[in-house]
Amino acid sequence: MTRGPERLRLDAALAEADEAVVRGNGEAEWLSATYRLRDVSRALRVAANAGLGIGGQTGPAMFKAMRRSADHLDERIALFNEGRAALGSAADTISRVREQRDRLDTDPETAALTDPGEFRDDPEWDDEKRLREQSRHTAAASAFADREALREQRAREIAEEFDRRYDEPIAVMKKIHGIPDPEPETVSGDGGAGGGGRGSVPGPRGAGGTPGTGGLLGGGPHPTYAADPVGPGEGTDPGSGPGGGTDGTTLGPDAGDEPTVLTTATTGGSGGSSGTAVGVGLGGGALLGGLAKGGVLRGLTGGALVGGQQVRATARSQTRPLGGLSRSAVSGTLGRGSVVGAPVSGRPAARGGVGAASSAGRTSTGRGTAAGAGGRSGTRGAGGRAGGSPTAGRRRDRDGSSDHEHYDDDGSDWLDDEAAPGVLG
Amino acid sequence: MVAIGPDGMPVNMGAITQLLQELRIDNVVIADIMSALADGVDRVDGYEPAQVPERRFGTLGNGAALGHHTELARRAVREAILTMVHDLQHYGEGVDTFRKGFNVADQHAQEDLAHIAAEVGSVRSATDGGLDR
Repeated sequence: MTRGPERLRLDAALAEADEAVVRGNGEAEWLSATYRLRDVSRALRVAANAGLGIGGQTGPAMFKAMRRSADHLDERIALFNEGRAALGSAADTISRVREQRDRLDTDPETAALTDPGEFRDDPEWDDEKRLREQSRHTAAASAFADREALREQRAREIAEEFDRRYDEPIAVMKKIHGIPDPEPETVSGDGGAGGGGRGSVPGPRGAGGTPGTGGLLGGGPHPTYAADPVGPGEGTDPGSGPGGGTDGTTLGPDAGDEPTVLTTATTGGSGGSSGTAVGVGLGGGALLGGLAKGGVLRGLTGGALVGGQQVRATARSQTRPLGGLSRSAVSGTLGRGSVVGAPVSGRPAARGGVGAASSAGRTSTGRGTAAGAGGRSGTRGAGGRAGGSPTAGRRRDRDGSSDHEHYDDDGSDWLDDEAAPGVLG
Repeated sequence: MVAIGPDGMPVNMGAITQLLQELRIDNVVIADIMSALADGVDRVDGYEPAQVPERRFGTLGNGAALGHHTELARRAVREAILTMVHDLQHYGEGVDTFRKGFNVADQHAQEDLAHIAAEVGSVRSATDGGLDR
């Protein structure tokens, strides 16, 4: 059976393609990922609902933050699910193309005909016989040529369909990874020496078709991504020659062994800073919702509300500010402590000084600062000072909002302020 | 119950007691939260979708392109999972910090109440029977 260049090109493409791998490693694995992520989303919602039980301002803030994280995660899951479907579609495409290709050989209308070869004269034939044989051979040769042309045309159509059906999965994957296409260079040619396009004859890959050197910038209208070299006799890939430029983000053929770290991850930068965000949310939230607002910190020595009643301070200098959270107790979480402890009402030197020095109660503004969470062992860091000093007020001014507002907006303090975690924030 | 502080002002002991009870409730709630977050981490920690070798999409132009973009997207999924595990752990750490903060506050409140109670007692003694007589 003869095969033209289009057919050989199609065969080469399908020889490497494997729908089972695409389905197993791709679709099934992505499905598993979405299932797992859904479980996480559910866990977040459970945690969020439980967080409501904390009450105060921390509880609702925790609820909002976690619920919002779950919402964001659900959006990601939906996107990843599109990727899963895209991989399933790609696997279907490979199967369909393979069937179409095979049908070329089995369908009577496109099945290969036997090549009649050259006309061979027989000396024993008389003229009439010779003419008849010549005519028969001519017809057979013509039918063969027509059939081959038809098969080539069908092979080309199938290959084009193969490529075209990948357009949508590619778009989905691009949407998921979010890395923009590189700008095409205008100086390069249209394919390069190694790439013959559809007109290339079967044979070894062109000299320029080295792995990984081709890239997104083939110079042609469509970026062509490099492929590994195909074996001799398997034809060529269009646009894979040296004319193809390089692409900074294009992975070499062996990149799978050494995964490239994406610096433009769509998940956004969270990393360590997300801890700060969460820490602020929790540490600050704890102070605000659990202590400051709850009244423990404001009570007794703070001259503030205790259980909804306003009482005067009772033990200003004698007693250490109640409910003091030493800095160590909330280590790393008091980044915005001074803000948390900033005045909520019109009182100067207000009540909620997070990490306020224990000595704050002995200052001239002792009544106000007493509610600040004083460290048990004396003065603490800047966060502590802020609670019982005018700094707290200045901090508030700078932020332009009260601590209450920090936690009452939408709960995003947990994640969004400093560095919203990419997935959850 | 309202007690009288050393400066003669009332101290709402009932409200304080209620708050301390809430602290105990919070610990239970926080344990639930921590459990849920840990479940979430366990579900995805260390997981990443398998690779699909790029050539398994075929070697035509778009096949290579799809393979390339699929790998990039897979890494985005992996990064998302890693980030999420990281964030969930931070949630957990934050909640744990919250819990510890409450415990410290609880302890300090207890000590302060004892101190205040002693002062109130001394006031009562000094006024021969106490102001609440």
